[in-house]
Amino acid sequence: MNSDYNYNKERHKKMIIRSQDLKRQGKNIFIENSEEYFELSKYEQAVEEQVFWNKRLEFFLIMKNFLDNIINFDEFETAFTLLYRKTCKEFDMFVIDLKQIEKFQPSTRTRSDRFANSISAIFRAFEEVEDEYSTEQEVKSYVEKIYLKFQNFLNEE
Amino acid sequence: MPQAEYSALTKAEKRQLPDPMGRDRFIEEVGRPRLTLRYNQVEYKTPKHGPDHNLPVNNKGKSDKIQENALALRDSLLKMPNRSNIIWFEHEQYQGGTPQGSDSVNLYDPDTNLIAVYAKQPDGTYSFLTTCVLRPAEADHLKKSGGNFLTQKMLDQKTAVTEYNPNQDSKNTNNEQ
Repeated sequence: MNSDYNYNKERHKKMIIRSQDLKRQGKNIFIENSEEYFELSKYEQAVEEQVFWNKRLEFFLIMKNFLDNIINFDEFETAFTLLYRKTCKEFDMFVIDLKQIEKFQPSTRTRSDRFANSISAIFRAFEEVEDEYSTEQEVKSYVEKIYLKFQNFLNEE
Repeated sequence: MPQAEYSALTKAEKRQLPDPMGRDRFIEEVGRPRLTLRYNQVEYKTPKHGPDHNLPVNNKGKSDKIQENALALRDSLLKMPNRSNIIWFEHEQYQGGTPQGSDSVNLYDPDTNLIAVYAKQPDGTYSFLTTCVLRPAEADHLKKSGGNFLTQKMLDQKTAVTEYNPNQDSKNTNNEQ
């Protein structure tokens, strides 16, 4: 990710501890101090990007199978949803695990678009089809756009 | 309701009709807008968003569309105001600034990032539309905007996004969900 902030691991860990302490007291960091919340959120989004990027080959295989008509829309939604929810769970565990954070380094990739956000956007598109705001074909075009946007970066760590 | 009138309704509007089996519920908190949970709308959202409320998940990553699950989702939504740090975003929006936008009351739990959207109906009441767990960027936008829930897909379509401006009245009038 092309970071627009300087990553500070010690500060990140301190913010996690602060957030967890507040949680134990029944409080929430956003309600108590929104500046601290937004700082922690920046770190969390860097973690989220890394967790999703680590799954990029799996997401791309599902997207390619859909774009190549190997799987239909329903099969795509199922495969994508299962992987998406699994990845979200991994993120949920990672983001509060200080041992994992100790080893974490944000990506130095040069592209500015966030992969995690694009994957979440595809997931949200399923609901647009359900609510009849989008068609399956429109979702396919959207998936193709994202596939093309990221395919040249697949080999970056 | 006369058949002709019923037939003219959209599917979304039909889901907001009272449940003849009495499974609708209402959130009535002092000093807050009254929120309606129509069973048919809750049931409709059960497969996709049951997992967000910890309902059982099938091998397709969804919750089965059965009455037991729909009632569990309804009751989970009903209890949301009791969560310790719940935030009421009143007179706010869902997908505000986009063609899908609607005025809404958004109930948000910052501890879990769970949101429930109650869209304003033509008669001025608020009725359950959808619920989900926000991704971090969606949660940031919700908070920075003072309560406009834009999904990640809309956030990515930056041209459709209007940044929050308290001096600008950007409320939507399209409430046909």
